[in-house]
Amino acid sequence: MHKFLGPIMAGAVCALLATPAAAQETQINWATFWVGTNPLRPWGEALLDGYNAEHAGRYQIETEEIPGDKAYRDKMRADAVADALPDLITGNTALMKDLRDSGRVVNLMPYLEADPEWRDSFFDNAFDTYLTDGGELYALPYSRDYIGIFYNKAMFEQAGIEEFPRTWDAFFEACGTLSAAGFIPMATEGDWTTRLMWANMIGTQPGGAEWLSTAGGSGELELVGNAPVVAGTEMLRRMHEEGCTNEDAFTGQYATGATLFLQAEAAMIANGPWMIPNIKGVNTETAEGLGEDVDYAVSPGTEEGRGLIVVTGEAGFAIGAKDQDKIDGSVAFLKYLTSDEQMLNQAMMVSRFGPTRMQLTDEQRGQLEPMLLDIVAESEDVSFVYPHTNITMPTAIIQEFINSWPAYARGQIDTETFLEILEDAQ
Amino acid sequence: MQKSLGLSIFVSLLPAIALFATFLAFPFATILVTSFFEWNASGLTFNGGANYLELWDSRSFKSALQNTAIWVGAAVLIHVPLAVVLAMILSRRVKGWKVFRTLFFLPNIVSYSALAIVFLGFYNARYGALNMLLEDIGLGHLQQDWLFQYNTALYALIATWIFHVGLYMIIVMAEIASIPEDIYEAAVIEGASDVQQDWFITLPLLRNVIGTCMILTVTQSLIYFEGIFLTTKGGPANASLNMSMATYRAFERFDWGEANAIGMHIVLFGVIAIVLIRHIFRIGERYFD
Repeated sequence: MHKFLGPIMAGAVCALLATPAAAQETQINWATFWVGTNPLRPWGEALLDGYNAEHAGRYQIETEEIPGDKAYRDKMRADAVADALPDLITGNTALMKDLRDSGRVVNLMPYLEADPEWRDSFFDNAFDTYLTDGGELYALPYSRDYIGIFYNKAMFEQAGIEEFPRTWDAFFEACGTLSAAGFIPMATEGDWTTRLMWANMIGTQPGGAEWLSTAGGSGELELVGNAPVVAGTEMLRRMHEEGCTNEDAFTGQYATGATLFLQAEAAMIANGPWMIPNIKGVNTETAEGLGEDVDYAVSPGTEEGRGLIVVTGEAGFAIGAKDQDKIDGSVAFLKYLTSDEQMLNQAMMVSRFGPTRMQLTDEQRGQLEPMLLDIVAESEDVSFVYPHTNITMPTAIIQEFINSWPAYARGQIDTETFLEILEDAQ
Repeated sequence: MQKSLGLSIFVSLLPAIALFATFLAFPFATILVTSFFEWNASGLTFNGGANYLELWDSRSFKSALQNTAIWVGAAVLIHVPLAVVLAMILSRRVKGWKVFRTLFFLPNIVSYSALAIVFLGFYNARYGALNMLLEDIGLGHLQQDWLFQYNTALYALIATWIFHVGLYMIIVMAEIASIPEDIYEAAVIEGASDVQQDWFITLPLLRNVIGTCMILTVTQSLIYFEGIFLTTKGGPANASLNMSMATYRAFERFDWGEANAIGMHIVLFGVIAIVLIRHIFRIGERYFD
């Protein structure tokens, strides 16, 4: 028996060695905050399942879940400093700029150049937000946001206002009328929604849209004596002086303004289309019938026309992988992410469009939120298109705006001092 | 024999030394060293004392220093004295003293995150309980946006914390309980009143524990963060910005070198405060020596 055992085992080993090795699956690590109650979670799960199924046996993405976008940002910054970034990173413009400065993310432009069909599927200027002066692309946008003003038609009707104001004069008149009717005209909190109105008020001034669109590159921003910024900032203060906003408009907490609008206490709020599911009552307690009462409008403007915040790439993906195989797998993920199928999924699940020229069939249009389609249609009819302040201004200015805005709005400092404080914060 | 004893002492101390080096010495050295660097996404670049010079020239840092000083002043002049007075009153076993002791201590076991949310509502300009109360008692003209008005923000925040004296009150009560009863009996025989007993016996004998409470409250005031972060974030216009919040803001801007330079100021002020308080209260010296 023993004399057969040796040859049998040797044969078995030879057979194993002779078997062709199965292609090894490359593991890709995606650090994500699209978890828990984050509205992007369902789309993230769909992306992950779809990609892993499509690339089974070749690439496999595993997620590292980090709840909370701030905790995520801090972790990614620390990883960048330690040269230990995950293979795939997602985040907003500020985080992507930090990653660019770290020099530890992959330049995506060669991959786009190598696949002209993929590159040409994006809108013109879609890459501007993430393009360096040297033409390197440090992150790929996955969103194109049309950010308007939600308004409660029922409140407008009760106050006797027939249409959403088209000019700033009409806007302030409407504020007075709504106030007299017992409504809070505009919900704000001193941070995000206030700064959206600030962008609208700057962007619809002569030269304002151009400044917001181009000033956010490198170098320090000039705010003092900058005509559209001065005019827009003073108009924003007027909104407070004339009682257009809620009394507790300085908390800096998004919930302050959002709750007022969702409970039908305030007639307007500036925000992106991702608020639509909340307005429709998804995972949110809202006033009865709010979903039917709300409509979405572009910003009032001047005699020259109205304005709209359009941002391509407020959010993007970067690749931190070093190994070429992992980079290739991550690029494949970005192609999958920006495919028509997934861009449509994003629009349906998150009420957010992508940066690609997606052709929608009538059936697909029927699946999308009408307010989202309306604002895109209205974007053709505006004279001024500009990004919001997160794109144009560095974190330090935004931080200082939140800090100093209450004192300025209450008239405790003048416009020049306020803008000087913001300028100095850079 | 001597050599092996030394070796065994060293080996037995090794875990403590390792823990000290990992969790205290190394982080402190990192903060100290990197406070002389520009530290951001691009990495570390030595910039000498530029972080410190920029801070000393910065309006917001001056506000942070001033507000921290006010906070520490309130801790020293109100927080601890209030705790001592309450401890002396309750130690007399007044009626219901156990209930009061519990009530005063309770806020110390409630998360400040929860309390911050409560105070955000309490001070709210539109629906806050404080403004409603003022309206009800005919003082409507005093209504304010308490947390977001330049003149009231810091004091409104200090008020959320200054009356949480339960911890120090308990510590002082424990010290009072350890004072020998015969000292008071002798004083009574000599005809000392209650107030005289408190003033000439209890208070002097509490010198050590009051000094310890002062060190604790001052160092905690220097690093106080969560209540400010969860409400005003240091605003409006830096009215409630303290040094810890300023550190966080620098951290948020990815200006880690400056954040650590502020951190070094906190450490320095903490050390100065500890030395001063130890000296003033002669902590460690026995009263009867």
